[in-house]
Amino acid sequence: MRQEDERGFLSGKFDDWSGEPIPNGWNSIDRKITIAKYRRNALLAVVPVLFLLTFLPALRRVDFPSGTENSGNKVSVQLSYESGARSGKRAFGNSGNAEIHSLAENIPVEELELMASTGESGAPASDVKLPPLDKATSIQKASSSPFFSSATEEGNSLEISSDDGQGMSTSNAEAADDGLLAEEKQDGTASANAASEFQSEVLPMALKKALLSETASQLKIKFSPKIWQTETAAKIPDPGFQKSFSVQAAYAVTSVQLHHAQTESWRYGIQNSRFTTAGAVSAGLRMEKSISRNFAVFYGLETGIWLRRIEWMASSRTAHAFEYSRTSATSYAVSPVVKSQMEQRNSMLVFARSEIGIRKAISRRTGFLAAAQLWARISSRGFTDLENGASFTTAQEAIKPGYRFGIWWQAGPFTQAELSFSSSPESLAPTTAGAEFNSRLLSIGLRQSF
Amino acid sequence: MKPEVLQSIIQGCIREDAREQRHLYEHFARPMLSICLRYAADRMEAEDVLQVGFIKVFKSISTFQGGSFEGWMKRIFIRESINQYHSRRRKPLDFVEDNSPDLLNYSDGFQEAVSSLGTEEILRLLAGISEGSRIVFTLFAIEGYAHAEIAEMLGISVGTSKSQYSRARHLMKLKLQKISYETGR
Repeated sequence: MRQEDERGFLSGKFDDWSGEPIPNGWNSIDRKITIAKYRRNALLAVVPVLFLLTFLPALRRVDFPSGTENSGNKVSVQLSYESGARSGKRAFGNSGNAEIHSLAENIPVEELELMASTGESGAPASDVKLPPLDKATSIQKASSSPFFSSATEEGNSLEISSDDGQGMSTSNAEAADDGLLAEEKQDGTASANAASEFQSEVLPMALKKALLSETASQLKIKFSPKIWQTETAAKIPDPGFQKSFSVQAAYAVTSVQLHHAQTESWRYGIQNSRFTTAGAVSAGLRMEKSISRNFAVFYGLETGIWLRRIEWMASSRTAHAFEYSRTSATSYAVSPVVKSQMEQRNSMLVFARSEIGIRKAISRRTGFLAAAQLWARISSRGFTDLENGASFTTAQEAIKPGYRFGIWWQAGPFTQAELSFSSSPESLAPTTAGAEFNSRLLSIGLRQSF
Repeated sequence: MKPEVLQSIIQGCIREDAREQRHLYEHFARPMLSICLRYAADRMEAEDVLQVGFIKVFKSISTFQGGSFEGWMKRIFIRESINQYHSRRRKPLDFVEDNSPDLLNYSDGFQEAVSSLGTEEILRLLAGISEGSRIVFTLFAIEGYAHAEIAEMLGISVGTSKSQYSRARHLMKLKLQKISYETGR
């Protein structure tokens, strides 16, 4: 005989054997069935209501308030001089005009009106003639500028100085050292002195250019360092620099190099210092119906919180921190000293997630699951620890589809564990310009049946 | 019960008709309790399993796709008995491996000896052996499941199922020999 021959050899013994049935056995079962029925009906009524309350408001386009506003300040210093028609000498007209432009968002920009002029010497049409100097106005503007400490008038000269070296200088020296001193002499000649190393070298060179002939009517020296204060993840716009004059070309080269140096520093600062973490927690209800022995469909509704933290280094520069290097006989490279600062940016999203899916058993205790999801934004917030940090942007759309698939394991009679891979709701959360993500969620979960 | 009557009761249970559910319970409670008693440690545990089993029957009755309804219910109660055993003991079934050569002799009159016993005596024989072997013996010799089905239900290999049956058979045979010696049969 074999073992297989003994299969079921005792089956007939126990067919009618059970002893007496338990008293009130049905009452106990009936009570539990009734409770389960009422609970199921309550869930069937509550879940659609929760679904409507959660997702219908999100269908409206809601503008969420933005985060911190960016208040980068740009300072442009323009010193313009007119050249009188003198022979053999550098000459400045009596119409010098100096203004300090502060291009911060809350301060209006005043620009000079430039008039094209041919000049007495037949200078190129691109020469400009500046309006007469309004020294009083300029001094007032200079004095009231937050970037310059004083502006004085001595005789026919206008001196503008900075107390924090916002000119092209490297140190906080006296006013003459930090500024560009231009004066008109009694004999009609004029000179411009720049005590700083940069200005003393470049300016005389500029004055020797062909445009500055004795008969030239105007000389325009544009001295425009663009100084960018604390900004994060901002694209630097084009300087819009005019390069029509060779004199200005010298400065343009300098300014462009400055911008390039700034741009490169920005890029370096953004791309090389970023650490991002993200995660989510959620809880909810799920209803499941068995279709067959190994197949079930389920519908669930959950709410949760999603959080992303970006830690990165924001590059900034102060106006007085410049480094000069001479690259050739006629050109200079100006590089701002970059100061780095850590910033922590947090994006938080309170979400609701609805999903409908299928669950298939591959063994008695394990199987696969797959579901289609619908994410909805309930609320969101972006905050940073950097004063005047860049603002956050929140998408108009408040709903997005998603997916989830994974494996499940029956940990107990009424307990199920899940490990799943799903889409992420990050596009519904406040975002940071320049920092795009395309992440997914790896989730573990526990489900308790009742 | 006539097939058409049973079908009517099944349809009533699908509609969650309390009266039809009670009819179903009253008709199948005793045979299902007998199944639970084979796996449970005592009657109280068997009655708990009976209640949980009927609740599961009523929840999943809509998935019954024809065939033997009593066989379908039996599988639910057996599975529930094993699940309840796992949950109450909070540890997996202990399957003790034993490769003694005596276990391979199936022409030793064991079948005839056990078949001549009453149900209570058989259960007393089973009570003294390890739980894993007892459950495999019950599923194979009493319920009539194949070793492949038992392996799937218990999450073990076919070889383990066979060896556990052999072990249970051997221990029951030793107890029978001892009883025969003591009673002079």
